[in-house]
Amino acid sequence: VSTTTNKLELPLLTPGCAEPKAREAADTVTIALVGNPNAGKTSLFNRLTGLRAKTANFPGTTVEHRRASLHLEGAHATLVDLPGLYSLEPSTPDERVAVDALEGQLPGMPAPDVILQVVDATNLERNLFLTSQVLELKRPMVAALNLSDAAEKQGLKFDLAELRERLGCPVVPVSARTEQGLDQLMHEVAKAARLRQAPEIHEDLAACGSCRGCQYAARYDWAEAVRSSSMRGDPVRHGRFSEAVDRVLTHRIAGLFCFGLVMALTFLLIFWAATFPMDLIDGLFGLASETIGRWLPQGDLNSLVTDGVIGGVGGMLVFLPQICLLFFVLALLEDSGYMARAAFVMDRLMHKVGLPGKAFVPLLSAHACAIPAIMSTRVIEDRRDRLATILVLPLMTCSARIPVYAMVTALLFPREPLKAAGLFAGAYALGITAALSMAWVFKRTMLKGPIRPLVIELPNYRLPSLRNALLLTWDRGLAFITTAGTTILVISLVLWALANYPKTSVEDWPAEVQARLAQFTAAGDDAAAEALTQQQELEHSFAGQIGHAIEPGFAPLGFDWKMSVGVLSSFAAREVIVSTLAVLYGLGADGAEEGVDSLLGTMRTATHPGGGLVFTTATCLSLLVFYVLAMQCLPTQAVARRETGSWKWPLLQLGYMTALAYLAALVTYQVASLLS
Amino acid sequence: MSASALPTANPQLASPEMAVPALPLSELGGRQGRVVRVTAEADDALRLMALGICVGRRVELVKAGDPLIVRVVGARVGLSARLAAQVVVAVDDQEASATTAA
Repeated sequence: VSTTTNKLELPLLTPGCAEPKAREAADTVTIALVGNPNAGKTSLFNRLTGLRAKTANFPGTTVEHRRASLHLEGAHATLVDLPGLYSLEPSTPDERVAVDALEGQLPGMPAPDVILQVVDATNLERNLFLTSQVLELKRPMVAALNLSDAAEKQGLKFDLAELRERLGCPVVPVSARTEQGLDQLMHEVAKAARLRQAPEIHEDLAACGSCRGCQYAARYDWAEAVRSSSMRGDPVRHGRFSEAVDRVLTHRIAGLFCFGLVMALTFLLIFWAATFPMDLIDGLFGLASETIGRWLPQGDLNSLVTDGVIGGVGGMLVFLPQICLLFFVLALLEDSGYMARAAFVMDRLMHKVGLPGKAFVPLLSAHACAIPAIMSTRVIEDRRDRLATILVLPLMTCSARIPVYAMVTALLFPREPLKAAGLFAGAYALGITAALSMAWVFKRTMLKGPIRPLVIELPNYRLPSLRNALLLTWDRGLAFITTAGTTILVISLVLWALANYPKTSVEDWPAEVQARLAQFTAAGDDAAAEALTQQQELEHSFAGQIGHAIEPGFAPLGFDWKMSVGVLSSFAAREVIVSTLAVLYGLGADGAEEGVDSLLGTMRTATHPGGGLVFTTATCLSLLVFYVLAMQCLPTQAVARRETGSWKWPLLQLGYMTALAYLAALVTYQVASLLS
Repeated sequence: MSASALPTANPQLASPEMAVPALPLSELGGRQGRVVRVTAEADDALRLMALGICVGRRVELVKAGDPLIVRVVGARVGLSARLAAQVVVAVDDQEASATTAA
């Protein structure tokens, strides 16, 4: 079992990210947690560490793991949770890193002092296969017989003395759920760390490694022999319940229907439950902006803090509840064992576009937000499949597009809810069609490769752990804030500067505007004067100038310079176009909030300088198509960079999506203009 | 992987010493059997064997179709039919299956 020859093809990560300190003190004991997926490894890790755990990348890779310091009977120890493994011959990048870390072949990361292997007591034989390989690493090892409470309920009896004898290392029955046995487990780990004694390889097992022919077969024979001599009871019987449930949930038609139902409920919950914290965050940031705005002297600093910093951060944080809820529900579904079934029933359908079944849940999650969706592509084994999925995810209609869709549909069909709903649904359908088609294209061109046939364990259903789900949500939420948060802060500041400089005053504006402004002031209409001032300031700022400069480029799509500024300002976050248009159409910054109706009214009657309505049917459709397909979200790009390890993929994403959006909007505008 | 290197088209020729019929796993029906050969390509064979679909293991087809479900080494595994067709299984004789089921 050697992985030294086939080195990682994983991209390198720039230093500075949360990498583990390679210089951990020499007197720190490193404990590596290994085990099959679904053996309860993460539950055990969470029980032992709680909120102390941190997420870090393995040095030089984009593969993440969790680690935490803990006290081990007086010694300092670091517990490292390795990705789940079925065998030490890896078939996915994550597994390869786990194996390298275990064998001490990861540069910058010493080999573990003690290996803590989690063995699922309810599926001893299969888990023992990995044990047979791990034992041969000849490192101090302790086996945790997890889920021992569940095994007891199933009537399984273990002869622990026999098991210890056969494995040649300490075996401790534990339950991560009830915390039973954890003290004794850590005591054994501490002892193993002190003694530094490699397990005594039993002669039966020693024969496996040297066995000619299929060493897998020999190892499974060994596992079967160990199981039959150290355990009594029928582990299969308990699986009958899961099997009965699976008759429905993996059924060709009923399974798809149930999956649809589960996902529909998930989304209803997310969109409904998230509105409360979202309103709260919105309100808090509005209040903060107002309070600090009154506090600070009027001027650039005031505007920078209130509009730039607070506005930018608030605009990002407002999506946090949706993201967290999505992670939370997905974690519960994963923990319950349902996700494996979802991948199972979707596999055949997804193959039609060249993606594995596991890509479906990320594609669906992208309808809430592309960021958690991109993070959840980690379950996809094949790197090409994963990249193709990441590339097309942002084409799905995320919740940030909804304000834009709402604006356009209201412009087109103000009093026809049925038509408006149809257009809304059409926009969603366009996003889905585009994503699936592009996945098909990528999988046949630059990411060409055979579809990995499905091989997935269908674990027994179990009650998901709220604790695990909450910890995962906390972790991912934090990752979102640090990755996306810093990017959006920088971008909001840049956009703020573009929209506020150079400063112009009344004298710089056209005489006609000055006259109107004087009229408003004379009439005592401060609101109108203020709105006109904001509009003029924005028009003469860098953003306005750039808008005018790029207008010819967007003219074939039917966009005027104001929409061009909108496209530019929403480069970082697409929903910004609504407030930008509010300012540009002279409603003032609060125009969008005061009621979309006043904005819509103004937009509906807006005319080009040469005459003719700006928002014709063709323009509206073109704008809608553009926003369905354009990238327009920097946090997503930042996360895509983090997950793929280089800027190459997010740049490709930006490039192809912008081209696609431009072309589709062009065709839409030209065709719609011809027809009307 | 030595097991994956063997090219084969005819499962009947798989193991001359066995008198029982050998079938691709995908056609096992509701019966049980023992894996006699895995002919999938190296990467896929590794994934199969890591989950127990490996020479000598008893397997049972729990749900036919594509993808299908097999029970192996105490766990259930979902498999695409294409891959299952590359696993050759020596079927238990009917009586033996009947007694196991009872």
